[in-house]
Amino acid sequence: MNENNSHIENEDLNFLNGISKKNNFKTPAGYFEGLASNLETKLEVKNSKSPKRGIVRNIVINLSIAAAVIIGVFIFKPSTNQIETPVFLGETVVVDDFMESMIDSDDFVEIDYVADMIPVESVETEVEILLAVTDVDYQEISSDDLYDVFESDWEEIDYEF
Amino acid sequence: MRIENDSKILSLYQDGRHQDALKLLMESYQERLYWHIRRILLCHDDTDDVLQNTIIKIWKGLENFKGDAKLYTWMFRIASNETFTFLEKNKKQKLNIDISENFEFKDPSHPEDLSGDEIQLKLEQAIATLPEKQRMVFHLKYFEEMKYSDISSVLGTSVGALKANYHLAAKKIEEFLKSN
Repeated sequence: MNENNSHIENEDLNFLNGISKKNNFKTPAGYFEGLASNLETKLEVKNSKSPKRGIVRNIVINLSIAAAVIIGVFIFKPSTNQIETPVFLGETVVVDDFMESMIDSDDFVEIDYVADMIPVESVETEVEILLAVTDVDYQEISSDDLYDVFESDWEEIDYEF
Repeated sequence: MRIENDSKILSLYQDGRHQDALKLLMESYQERLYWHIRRILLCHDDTDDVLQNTIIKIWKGLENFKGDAKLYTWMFRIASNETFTFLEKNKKQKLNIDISENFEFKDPSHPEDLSGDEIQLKLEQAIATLPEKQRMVFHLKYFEEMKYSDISSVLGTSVGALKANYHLAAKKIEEFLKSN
């Protein structure tokens, strides 16, 4: 406090002693009682849930769920030893060795499956093949015969590719 | 009491209990703000307008109230600004108000009370002779019993200037009472 003004702070207001500090100005009857409700209506004030609290509550709920899930995973975590199939390393090695020995041996014949395959381009080609196998002159074959060929018992035909 | 209610008001508001917050705010401050304004404007109707504007501004500003200042000094500051704005707008209309017409004698049947009322009327008349800002300083210091530091926050004036204002106001009132 400024010392020069200290006498002002402790102003001697003796002349005001005995005078009430009440406010004696006229006010309409019930003015203060009605003012609060008037302003409440004017401002459209209502109690509501705070959005901040809502966010906090949601965060807490979500964290609780996450914590419960994590705890649950740790508690009910299945034992890996019970599920894993036993590894028979010895057998695996034996099979691998067998396969490699087959590939390396002279008995193993490499087959070119693509080159050996005869493409069937059409029904006519297929018929030619069948005729060649069965020694039938195709000039003498009618459409009915072709039908019969396709409808006949295929097992009777001796395929010699 | 003031600080407790201020923190309760803010707490209720932040909790979304706006109705309860406004109710407590009104219970705590409506009369104090009313008399703060009334002592400057003197007329009830003008005071009512300014008070309602003040409370609306307080309410709308409450959301952004940071708590850097005390709630009650902040509210009195808004009330003071609204009052001075009203005076500025109505500068051309000279406010010639007879205080005795606005004064309520509480109990005229008792001579002692009447005597007290009369002295009080004289005091109000003396206060009314002061310039508006000086009147406000006197009201906040004498009737509201505010600290100079708080009045400084309300009026945006230095503590030294406030003390000088209050000293001058007291002297003028004393002279008025002696001469009347």
